[in-house]
Amino acid sequence: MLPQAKSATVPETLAAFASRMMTATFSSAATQEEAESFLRGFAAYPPVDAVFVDQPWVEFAREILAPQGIRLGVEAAYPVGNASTEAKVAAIREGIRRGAQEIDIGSSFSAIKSGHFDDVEVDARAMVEAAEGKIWMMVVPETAILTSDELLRTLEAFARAGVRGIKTSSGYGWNTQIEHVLLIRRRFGSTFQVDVSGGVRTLEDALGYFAVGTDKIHASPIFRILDEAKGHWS
Amino acid sequence: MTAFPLQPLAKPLAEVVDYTDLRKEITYADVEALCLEAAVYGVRTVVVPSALVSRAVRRLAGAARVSCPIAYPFGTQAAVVKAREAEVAVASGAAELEVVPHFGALRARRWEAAAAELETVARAAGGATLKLVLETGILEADVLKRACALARDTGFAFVSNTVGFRLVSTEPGTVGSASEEAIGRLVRWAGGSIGVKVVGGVASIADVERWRVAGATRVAVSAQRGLLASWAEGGAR
Repeated sequence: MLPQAKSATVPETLAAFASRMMTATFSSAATQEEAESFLRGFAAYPPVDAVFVDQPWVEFAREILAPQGIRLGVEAAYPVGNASTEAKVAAIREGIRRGAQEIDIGSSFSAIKSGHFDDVEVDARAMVEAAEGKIWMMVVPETAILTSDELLRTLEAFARAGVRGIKTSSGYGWNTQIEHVLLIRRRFGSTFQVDVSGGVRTLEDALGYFAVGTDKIHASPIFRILDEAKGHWS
Repeated sequence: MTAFPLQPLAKPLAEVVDYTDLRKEITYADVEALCLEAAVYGVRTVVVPSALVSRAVRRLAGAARVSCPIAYPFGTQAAVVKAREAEVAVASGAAELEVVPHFGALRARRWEAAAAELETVARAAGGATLKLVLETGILEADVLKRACALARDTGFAFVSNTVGFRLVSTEPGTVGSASEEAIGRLVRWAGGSIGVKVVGGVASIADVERWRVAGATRVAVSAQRGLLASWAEGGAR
């Protein structure tokens, strides 16, 4: 059920490319009808890896996406991170109960920026314990607001806590840097699945991130990128 | 350079200020400074993320009330998750909560779902002062009007005009703001039975006064601008 960190290579077919792309419902204020019409759009493409929806919509979104082999994701403490650990744990449990297959959660950015990596570890461990074996969890360190030292110490805390996947950025406000992925791979090898979010607008952007060892990419202009990929591999 | 002014703000001003820092990069030291300023200047309420409530409560030791947002910033969590965040925040000492609703349900006018969610959170909040965060920029007038009634009926004490966070990741312009028209309508629809909180762009005492005259009873003031010191100094002259 749970994906393993892959030896991240550049995808060479449209299907392989799509299977490493993910996205979220376009707006947090979308109605269920608007979300449904968005979700139905994926039928025109090879299956993407996952689509993230509001927690109350997991069940109906699954009905649309599961037959296509697309996983359902939810988020928590996203994109700001500083929700209480109890709230994050509750979100994980609710994601599991509703049948989501992935949850992406902001770390305690406040603890990171305060240099309290023990608190980062405690927060991450509680999340790992709630998620382990029941839902795939990606934790967001929010690389764009961190120094390299803060990033490395955060990832060390994650590794101690048993985190197995990281999403570099929430995608809100900053672009993820290629350098962050390179740094993470150099220092941590395949300890983590490494997903990127933020600033991926084109097929070329995506392929650039895959080339440096990114496992999966979260992109908001997903259909534009998939159309471009269709043209590229046709 | 003037001396650091240590006198409190005038009471009517201090009473309406929600002294706020919800940035993702807020540090423990920022919370300490925010609480110290709130205590020195007599601010009634501080607003920090839920993970930092107990830290602020400890630091303030009763000098000001602590509030935190629930399901900040998008409100996309399930009701039970919001209830849990509320319950833990209140147990940690939060006296107020800024509750972000499921905007998709409101926009679609799914009133049963919206009411059930607010009731679930209110039950978990154990008597804390509840504020319902609305988005006047994306919700239609009839929805806002009904949401004000719903807030009142489910035990909320305030409605506010925006969460103050960009709603589309790639578009900084999608951060909600406060307009005279939007606040005036919220005040009318709240009908005096619940209060209206203004979020967005407050930079001066004149701004606060303007919103008070417009009928608002709370105003979010960012802790990032050093405003309180200048306001206290201005008031002393």
